[in-house]
Amino acid sequence: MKLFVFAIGGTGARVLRSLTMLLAAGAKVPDNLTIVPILLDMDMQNGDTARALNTVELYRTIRTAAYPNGVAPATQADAPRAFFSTLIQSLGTLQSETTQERIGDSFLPQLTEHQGTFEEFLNVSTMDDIDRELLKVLYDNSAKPTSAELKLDLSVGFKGNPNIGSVVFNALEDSALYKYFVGAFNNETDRIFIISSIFGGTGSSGFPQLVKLLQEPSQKMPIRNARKGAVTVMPYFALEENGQSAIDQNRFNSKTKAALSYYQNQIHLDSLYYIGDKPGAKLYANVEGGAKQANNAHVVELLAAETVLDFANRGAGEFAGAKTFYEYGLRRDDRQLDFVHFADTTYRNVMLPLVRFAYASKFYTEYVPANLRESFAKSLGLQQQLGSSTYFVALTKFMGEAFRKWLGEMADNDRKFDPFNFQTDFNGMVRAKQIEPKTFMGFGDKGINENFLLNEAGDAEPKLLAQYPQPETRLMHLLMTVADKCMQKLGDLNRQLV
Amino acid sequence: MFTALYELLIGKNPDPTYRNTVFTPVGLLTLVIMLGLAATFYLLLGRWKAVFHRTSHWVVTLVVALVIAFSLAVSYAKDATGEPEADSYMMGFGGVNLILAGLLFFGFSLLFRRGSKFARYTPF
Repeated sequence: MKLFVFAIGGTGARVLRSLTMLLAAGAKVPDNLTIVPILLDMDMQNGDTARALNTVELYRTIRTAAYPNGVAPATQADAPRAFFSTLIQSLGTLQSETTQERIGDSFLPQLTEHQGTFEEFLNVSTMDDIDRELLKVLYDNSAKPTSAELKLDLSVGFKGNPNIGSVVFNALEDSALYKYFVGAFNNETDRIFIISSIFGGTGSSGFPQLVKLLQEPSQKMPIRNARKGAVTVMPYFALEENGQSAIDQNRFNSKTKAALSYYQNQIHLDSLYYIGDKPGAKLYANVEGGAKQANNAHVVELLAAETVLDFANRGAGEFAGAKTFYEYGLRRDDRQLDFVHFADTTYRNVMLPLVRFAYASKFYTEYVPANLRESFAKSLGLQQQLGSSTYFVALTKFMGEAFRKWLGEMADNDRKFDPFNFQTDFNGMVRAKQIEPKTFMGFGDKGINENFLLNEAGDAEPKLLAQYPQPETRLMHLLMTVADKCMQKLGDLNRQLV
Repeated sequence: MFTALYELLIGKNPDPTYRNTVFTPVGLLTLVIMLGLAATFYLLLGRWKAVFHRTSHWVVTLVVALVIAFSLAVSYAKDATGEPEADSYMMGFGGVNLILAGLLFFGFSLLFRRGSKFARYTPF
């Protein structure tokens, strides 16, 4: 089953980043799932988008090398899935039957070829006087050189103005990207999911326009009949005061209310997920767009990413016909979150895979480089390859940099989600539970120490050698095996709120 | 086989005791001991836990093997000939047995290391 995921605007990109982390960790999804992420953004230089793109590209590089035949090992229903097991494919790599125009291999296909201001996009100079006057009624055309709506440079997005974005997105139907998508969507069992914010510019304008297109009576049958879902991210952060910025956070709530009332009657999807949060004390920089717009990851984005998995995990029979609305709720409204705050399904399907992946990350980026002379490392050729092979470097970047940075940003945010301490040893890495060594006179169970890791890795690697002669695949299985052993040492985590 | 090897390197001793009762048992014992040491290092400890698997551990085992081989040859020869002190022939015999033991241990290491978990790349 293919799941086409439209991630619109900066929030869409940030949620896609979280989704990629969850898929890397082996969060629960159907075995046959392929995710086709399509980032929609006018702001091609956006920092959030660039970071999401890098993460997805790293994922793709790792997965291609780790599972060269394209198929990750299937797992039993209750067992955690393999790391990087879900295939992530760009739209441009699919076969499209209706268009000859290629859209490239990027996860961020070009939305429009237009470069310039909103005024130029509308071709105001060629309009007659009446139309021009009407435009002045609808849009701010004051002398302010950068923030007047008609003067907005669209190359950095819509700067929180959905009234501009909706006009631009109205042309989506004629874009090469959309035509390619229509041509590539040929199976009614495939699904569509849309990620957007409701309080910004790009997401809040792109979402209803995209849904309108998908719902059109003239739309081809596979798309009309496909199961469709969306997550709408409501305000969850506040911005620093910036009088120079065109983004006015005082309008976030009013825009949200207006959009919600529109969605109530005009948006018809099988599943619509809502998530938001009371903004915390940490203020985001008020940046209109471009490379400097790179907001810290937030737990709301992680949970929004979980909605994609939830939608994919639902069987065909679970969509009763009427649209279903979902809202996310924590078990308790604390500003600092740990695993215990999340519902059982989130804990089981998302959080436990994250713990397992965190162990693998620590093992691969800390233990392995310090023990390259051990047999398992020599057998994998890590001494030669760790710093030079594309796969091993990508894995180091993903596990050691991207994953840690993503966690670090959530830990530094408000609400704070800081479940791991990578500065300490393996026994103390999971904040929710310290692994206590059970020793007497220096003998006994010392928890997860160097000897434990060496024994487990040394024991597993020769067994994996026959089954997976390729080092890339074998390493991935070794990481999972060692992580599983660490999870056994960790045991059950407390699920009772105190 | 062992007699020919030893006599090739240290020459023939006029005392027939060496030919009749020393060379073959010492050679066989050395072979068995080296086999046992290598098997213990690679197949027993090397598969049990990562406690004694590094190159430094291998060198220690080799030194022990060489000491055993030398001592075995000299003491066996002394006992068999009834000499109270080791003569130069016995010391030469001990030295040749030491070299033989080193070669045997190295050979068994190459043979057994593939069967080890933790010492597959020991000593190299």
